[in-house]
Amino acid sequence: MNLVELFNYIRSDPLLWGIIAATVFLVYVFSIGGLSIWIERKWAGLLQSRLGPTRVGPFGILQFVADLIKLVSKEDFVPPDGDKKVFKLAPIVLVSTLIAAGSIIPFSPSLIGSNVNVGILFLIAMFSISPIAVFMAGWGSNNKFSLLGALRNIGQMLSFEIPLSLSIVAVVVMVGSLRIKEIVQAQDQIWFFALQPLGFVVFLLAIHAEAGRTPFDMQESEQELMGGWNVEYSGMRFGLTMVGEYIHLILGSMLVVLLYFGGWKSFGFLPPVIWFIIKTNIALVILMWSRWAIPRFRIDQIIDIGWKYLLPLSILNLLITGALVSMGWFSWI
Amino acid sequence: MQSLMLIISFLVLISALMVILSEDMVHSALFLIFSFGGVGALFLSVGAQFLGAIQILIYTGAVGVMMLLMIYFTSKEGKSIKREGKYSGIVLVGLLGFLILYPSISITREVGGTKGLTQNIGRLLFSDLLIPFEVISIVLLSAIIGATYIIRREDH
Amino acid sequence: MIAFHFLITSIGLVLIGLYGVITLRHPIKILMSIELILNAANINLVAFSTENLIGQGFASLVIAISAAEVCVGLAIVYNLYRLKKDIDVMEVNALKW
Repeated sequence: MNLVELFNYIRSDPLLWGIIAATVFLVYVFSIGGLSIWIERKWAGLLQSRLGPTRVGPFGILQFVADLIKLVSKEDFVPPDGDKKVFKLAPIVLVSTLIAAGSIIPFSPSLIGSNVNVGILFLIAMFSISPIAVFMAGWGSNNKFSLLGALRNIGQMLSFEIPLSLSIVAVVVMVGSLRIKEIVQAQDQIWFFALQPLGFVVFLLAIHAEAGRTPFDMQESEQELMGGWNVEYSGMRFGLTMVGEYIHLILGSMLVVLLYFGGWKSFGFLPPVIWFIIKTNIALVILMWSRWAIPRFRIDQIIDIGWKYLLPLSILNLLITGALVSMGWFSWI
Repeated sequence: MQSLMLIISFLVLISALMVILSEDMVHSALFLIFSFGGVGALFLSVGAQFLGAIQILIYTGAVGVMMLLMIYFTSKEGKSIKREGKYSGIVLVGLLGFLILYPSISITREVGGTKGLTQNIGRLLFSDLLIPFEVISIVLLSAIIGATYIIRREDH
Repeated sequence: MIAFHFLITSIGLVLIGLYGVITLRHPIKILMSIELILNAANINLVAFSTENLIGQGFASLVIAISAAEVCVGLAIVYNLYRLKKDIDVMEVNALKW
């Protein structure tokens, strides 16, 4: 059996291909995640007139390797009075569901793990499991601060999942398909952020809140909760919670690119995969920007933003989109 | 694939049993969420893709999280109260199980075959099942209003 | 695929759920058992919708109904907790508070 036959055999088995796609996504996330931690710290240093990491490697680029070694070599502490099994399982549930969500991301027209019919619905479903993992972490820690952080996280995620889904549904109504590949292919002539400005703003705010980035990071506000739901974790389990957070962020920036900025659509002279990765990283940096530019809201303000502003706006956006689609405005897509 | 599905349905049954038997409320809610996910996998195995995704989204994402939150809000110890009438319950359920199981052993129909794609289910919901669909929307609205009415505080 | 293991799964779920509804005394656990019974019905509806999709459409309606039921049920449980502080369905015997 030569390599081509082996590849075709693997390609024909959906289970095997899905596992390989998830692994590739994991490797991608670890490399880009490590790099993006460095980019975030340098970027933060730039915004706050500091230097950021400088010691390890050129310009401190190997800082995340040093952090990783520190995390691996630390003791894996489990709180003795907590719920040990639940505590140990929580980071694994968090990371594995997010990686399963990543296996349906199309990097290019051909490089796609699984082009399932339910596409983006599967992604939202996998996002909706992460509050359970966060609750498991908070409950298993037997710590007031982590439980409070977990509850805030769940309230925030539940209230921002609805505007997020509704703004995605507006795009889906325009395209007429849930498959992410077809959504990207429909953006041949014009990228959807121009057709869906209101939906794009709602989506951007909601993805900020979903990923728990700073204007909405009430769940782990250091000054009052000492770090939120993962405060009792140490060693590699803490590393896994951090990785989960970064996968959330990377998936969010990928979604921004895929739904509103034309995915792998390019201006030529580079392969589509490279364009997709470049666009994703630009979106990532922009998502990180707000962390150092905008102060944190209070928890009641966050919930208010979710239910009183974003939800009506997203419903309005969906209504306008539906009306325009039924009048035949987007029949050329 | 067949053996994988057998393992999954076995795990679904075991975790459903643990929902009932577990003393710790949070554990039984987590077992419940796991069995919801397993049922979603069973849906996917017969080609019902839309229902599989909806099962994971609504049951694990919404119902499971609501259960966990309510357990946190209402039980201080996280332990459940004892069961009552264990043995008579087993006898009753065993009798009923025999009555259901005995005729269904002879069923040898094939399952699956139709693709439960999103478009097909959407067309169905807006043609044949239109009246139930509209009724469901009213039921959901009244459930939201009713729940907020029940749970409101008197002293505000 | 043969229908048998779907049948066994759904019968098992319905019996476990029924046993829970009969014997348990914590209202949240009773709600969980009801969810198991609804899931069992859904398995059969989905697995046997071979000729057309009516079963799958109906299963999606069942999912929506059960979400509404859990919403109202948990609101009642929370109110019960506020009134009595000790949740036990055997203690709920007052017609008016």
